[in-house]
Amino acid sequence: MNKSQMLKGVLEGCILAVIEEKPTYGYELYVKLSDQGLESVSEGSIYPVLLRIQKEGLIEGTLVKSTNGPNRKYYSLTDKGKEALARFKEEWEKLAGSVSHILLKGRSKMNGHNHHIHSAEQ
Amino acid sequence: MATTTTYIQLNNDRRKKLTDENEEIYGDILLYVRSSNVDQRAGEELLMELLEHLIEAQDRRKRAVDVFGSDPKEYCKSLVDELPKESVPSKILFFIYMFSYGVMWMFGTMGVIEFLFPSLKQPIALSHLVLFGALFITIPAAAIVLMKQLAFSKERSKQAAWSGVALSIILLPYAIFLLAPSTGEVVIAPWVYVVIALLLFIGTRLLKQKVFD
Repeated sequence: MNKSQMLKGVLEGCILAVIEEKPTYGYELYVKLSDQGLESVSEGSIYPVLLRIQKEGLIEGTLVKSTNGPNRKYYSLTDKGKEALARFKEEWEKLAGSVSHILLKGRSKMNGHNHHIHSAEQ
Repeated sequence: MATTTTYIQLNNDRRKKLTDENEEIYGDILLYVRSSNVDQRAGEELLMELLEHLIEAQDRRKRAVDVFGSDPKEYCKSLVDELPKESVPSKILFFIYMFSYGVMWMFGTMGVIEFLFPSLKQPIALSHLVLFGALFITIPAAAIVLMKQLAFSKERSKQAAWSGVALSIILLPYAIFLLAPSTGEVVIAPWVYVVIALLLFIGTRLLKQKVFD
């Protein structure tokens, strides 16, 4: 499975989690995500997600103007966003638990199988 | 709160920081978003955000293609899909503005010419006036559609298309005078043209704040 496809589904939750820590602007958000290991997030792909969750009322943006430097839009979590993040964490924990269970069980089975072949060869 | 006009000015200013290659790709994104059916303010805010991101990326020796991907048109579609749509009243307001602006220039020019050269004065057909009015709505509408089509196309086809638009703006009024039947001819005094133009001047000034708030 394409790594970026897998990432797409969890990107929204990760963005909410980063914004929860402190109000963040687009570029900073990308840097934080990639520093924490989500390197395969292409830089621009955060913006459609930001627009969508802004439309859903999970985050809100405030433009902070500076006289000669860049104008940055800082995103912060709304109450609705906090609820969504809590739900995401809960669902993720359940999902991550079951997925690793399935994957690890599969691996131990396979190991057992390999072991069996190995011992038969002996 | 900053107005859309301030955003546009700021964008023009900040865009100068881009390299030629990045400017070209960003310019197409700008064209695509501005000609899409999206809320103007939301669109300009997003364009500003993308521009600042690109400038920071450029400082780290990254290119527009690293930021927006290899298919910028597809990327733009995904952005436009998520932006709020422009409301019907603000769309109507925009076309009223364009229409009034066109009529202002037409009547202003006609009034001044007839004042300066009274010998050129001649009756004008109401049917022609109506057709002119229709032009002032159809030309901007066609230009917006064309703009979106032209984003991400080659520089040469862009130039060819805009030459076509310029030519039609010049030639269509002649075509109307020569080909359209002239019914309901009226004689309008030059001062009437000028007064209407002045009223429309005030009107468009007032409307401008609403259209580009």
